[in-house]
Formats: sequence, C-alpha cells, structure tokens
Amino acid sequence: MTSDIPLTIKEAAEALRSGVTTSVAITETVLARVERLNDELGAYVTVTKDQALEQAAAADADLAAGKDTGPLQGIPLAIKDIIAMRGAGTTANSRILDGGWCPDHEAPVAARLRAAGSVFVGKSTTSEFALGLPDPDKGFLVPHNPWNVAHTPAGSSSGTGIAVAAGLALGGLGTDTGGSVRGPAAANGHTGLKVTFGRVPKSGVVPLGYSLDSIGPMARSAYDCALMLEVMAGYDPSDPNAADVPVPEYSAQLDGDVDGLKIALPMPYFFDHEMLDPQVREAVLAAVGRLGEMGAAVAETSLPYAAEAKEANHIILVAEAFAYHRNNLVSRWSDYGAFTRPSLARGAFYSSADVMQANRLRTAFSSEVAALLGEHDVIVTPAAVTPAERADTMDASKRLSQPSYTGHWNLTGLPAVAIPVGLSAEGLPMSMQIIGKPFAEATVLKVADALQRVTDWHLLVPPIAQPAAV
Amino acid sequence: MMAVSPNDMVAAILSAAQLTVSEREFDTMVRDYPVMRAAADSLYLPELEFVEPAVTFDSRTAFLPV
Repeated sequence: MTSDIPLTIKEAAEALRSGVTTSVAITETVLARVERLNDELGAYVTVTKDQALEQAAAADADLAAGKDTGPLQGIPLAIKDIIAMRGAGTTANSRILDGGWCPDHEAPVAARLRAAGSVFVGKSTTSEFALGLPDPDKGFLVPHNPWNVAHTPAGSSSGTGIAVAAGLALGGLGTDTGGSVRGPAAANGHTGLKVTFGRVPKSGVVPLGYSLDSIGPMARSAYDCALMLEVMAGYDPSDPNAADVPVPEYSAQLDGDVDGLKIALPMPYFFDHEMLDPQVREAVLAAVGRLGEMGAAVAETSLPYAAEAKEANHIILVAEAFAYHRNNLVSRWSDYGAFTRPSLARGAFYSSADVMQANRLRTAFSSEVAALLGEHDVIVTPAAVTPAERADTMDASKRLSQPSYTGHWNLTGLPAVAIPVGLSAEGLPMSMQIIGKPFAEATVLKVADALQRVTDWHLLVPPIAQPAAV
Repeated sequence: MMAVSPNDMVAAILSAAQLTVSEREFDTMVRDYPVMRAAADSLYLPELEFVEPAVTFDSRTAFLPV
C-alpha cells in the first residue's frame, strides 16, 4: 500500500460518498503529514489548519444532510501563495509583501473552489513572485523535491507540486507564465494543466506576465485536473482577460478513446536538441508509442520559430514583470531574493522595440502552430529538458542558453498538460507535454487520461511520503 | 561608430533604470548581457517585416460595465 488515504480526488470523492471515510479524517491525515514533512520539503508557507478542519467538518455535515456540492467537496487542496485566499495573507514568498497581501480578499478562482466545498490546507510555496530561485537568506522555507531532497521541485508552483506528490494535498492551484505549473508537475511526477489564456480568471493573483499568466490545476491525474477545472473555469468580469466561453463537463469527455486522434511530434528543437536528456526523449517517445498502439496517428513534423519563440516568451515575460516591480526594485532591491531581483531586472535590458518585435514573433509563431494544429489534434513534446536538477547546480544564467519547451504555449495562449511518463535511472520523474487548440482542454486531458488508464506513473508516491516512512 | 562594451552598456541601462546592484550582480549581468542581446537580435527576422505585433487595444474595453 502506498497511501493511507485515497491518492486521487476521484477516489476520495467516491470514498466520502460511500461512507468509507470522512473529509475530517482525510484532512487530519494530510495535516499530520504536513506537520511531519513540511520543514524538510518546504511545501507550505502558511498552513491554515483551523480553517481546513472547519471546512472539512462543514463538508462532512453537508454530505450527511444530502447537500452534495460536487466531487471537490471535502477535498484538501493547496493554494499557491500568489493567489489571494481569505483567512491567510499572501506573501508571494517575498519580503516585499511581508505585510500579507489582501488577507480579506479572495481571488475568484479560490472563491469558486471554496463554494464547491473544498478544504484549503494552506498557502503553498512559490518561487518569489513566481520567478527566480529560492533564496535561503530571506526567511522562507526552501522547497525540496520529495523524490530526492537534493533536487529542485522546479518552480514556480513548487509548493503545490510537492504537496500533490507527497500527499500533503490531493490537488492544488498553480500559476503558469512560462511553465510554472508544468515544470513542478514534471519534476514531482504528477499532472499539471496550463489552461488557455483567459479560461480561468486571474484576478486576485499577483501578476508576473500580464499577457502570459494563467492559473491551472495540479493533481495526480488528468481526471482530477478535469474535476478541478470544471469548478475553476468560466468568465468573471473582474478579469479583463477572462474569456466568456462555455465551460464543458471536462471529466465526462475522458473516455479513454484516442482512436484516430492525430498527434504531431515537432522533432527539430523539441526532440533533437543536444541538451535534451536521452532518457526523457526515450520515455516520451515510448509513451507516444503507447498512444499509437491505442489507435492514435502519430506524425513527425517540424515547427518553425521554436527557438525564437522561447526567447520571445522570455522577453515579453520580463518586460511585463519589470514594469510591475520597477518601483520596488529601485527602492527595495535588497529585499528581493538574490536570484529574483536580477531575473526581474532583465526587463530593463530589452528595448521597447525588442518587446514589440517579440510580439511580432508571437504572431508569426502562433500562425505556424495554428497551421500545425489545423492538421493535427494535439502536439506532443517533452515537458522538461531533463529530470529535476540538483538544487546546488541551478543557475539562472544557464537558463538563458538552455532550450525550454513550455513558454511556447504561454506565448500562444494554448492549453498544455504535463503528465509523468516514467522515472529516470536516478529515480526522478520524467514528463510529457500535450498541447491543444484554444479552449480544447477536454482534448488534451482526454489524451492524458487515456495514457493514464494504461500506465501508473501518476500514482507513484515518493518513498519519503509513503505510510511506512511517515 | 565605436562599439559599446557590455560593461558600459549594462552600467548605462542600470543607471537609466535607477537600479543599484552589487559588484557581483553587475559582473553577472555583464556576462549575461551578450547572450540576452543575441537572443533579442535573433527575433529581427526579415520575413517578419509585414507581421503585426500581438498587442491590441480595444477602445471599448474601458466603457464596459464592471
């Protein structure tokens, strides 16, 4: 047995309704794990224990009274600490917000989860302002990968990534501007969905890149992410970028059938780069092969401007972020983390013409992607170039020269899900990314779910979090 | 025309942005600047001459009810 509580939201929802367990029991188990492991793993900035137990008790009472608010009722979730949540200040893992940002305000996405009866375990660790690397000198817990604590859990949604992998929540919220949901999902061995730009309202969230930001669900399975997205998605007038597009019942469309589905594999840059770990390449292609055996049609192809799109995403991201942080960087430079401040300052190094040109490249690349998806249903790439790196080798400067496979889909605003496809020889998760057309979250989740019906990588629990270990 | 060294360029940019950084941070930025500049320069592709940037402004947005 690898878990003493249900591993997935789906299983937990069934267990709650069949009377096998209660939300209070699940939540108490989760909180006990948090108490034992959080100092070592650094998943949470703030644990809202009292609130969580109150929510759990309310969920149990409602279910007993026949008031069923849906599958997220009574489910413990982590909320990334750049998302405003009532009852807990928001720190963005920064001394800049050391007073706690908006403690009495709640982002629409959090309010929706609360109304659905979810249980909020706490505010999960983020890279400072969703950018940069941890600074151990700033007073916040440094996050560690539960598969190997010497390795990074990736960021910026590090805490939710850790929490889901180690059972310190059954799901949670992350945000994604260049890969910050998918990177931690990849590094920690579970599922993370970056949604179409505007699918989920991003008001009440500390911004990083205005035209790139998204809030996405992170959970063990694609099915769980679908359950979360059904609650999270939908228009809200408080977000000028929120899309007024109907929200389908995503989970109902996950039927395991990929027969005839057309998958594009853009080989140049995404599969043939010299820095791509051969184990990752092999694992992703093997997973695609499984989909092929299930009836999907796989085609090797190419995607122009892939390398340039990575640069364009970075330029736009830092330009937008620098505009937001500029005044504080000028007056409070040393209050920012040692790795965050130079990352933000990069926005000053590009000219306004550079930013405009990046947006022209954005148009051109989007056209190429649209043409590719005109002939295929999804694009598949690795989610990360390597398994999680050793934390002591991480270097923000290195990233300038490394390939990256995630920012392209923020640049184009498309839905993209990362799912695990195996463990490396070193025992670290490897991950695949599935990208779809605008608002086609159902399609990307369907492909992910189909693979997860015939594999169990998404159900693996790191040894540190297994019941015998705790 | 005399080329500007990365050292002078970074110093000028930081001064314009009113950012005060440590010596070590300055050295890192000087090392990184050519890489960043080359990345930005790589986007000025001739075939993008007639491509519209993906920035739009709709004058009606400010008039929409909240």
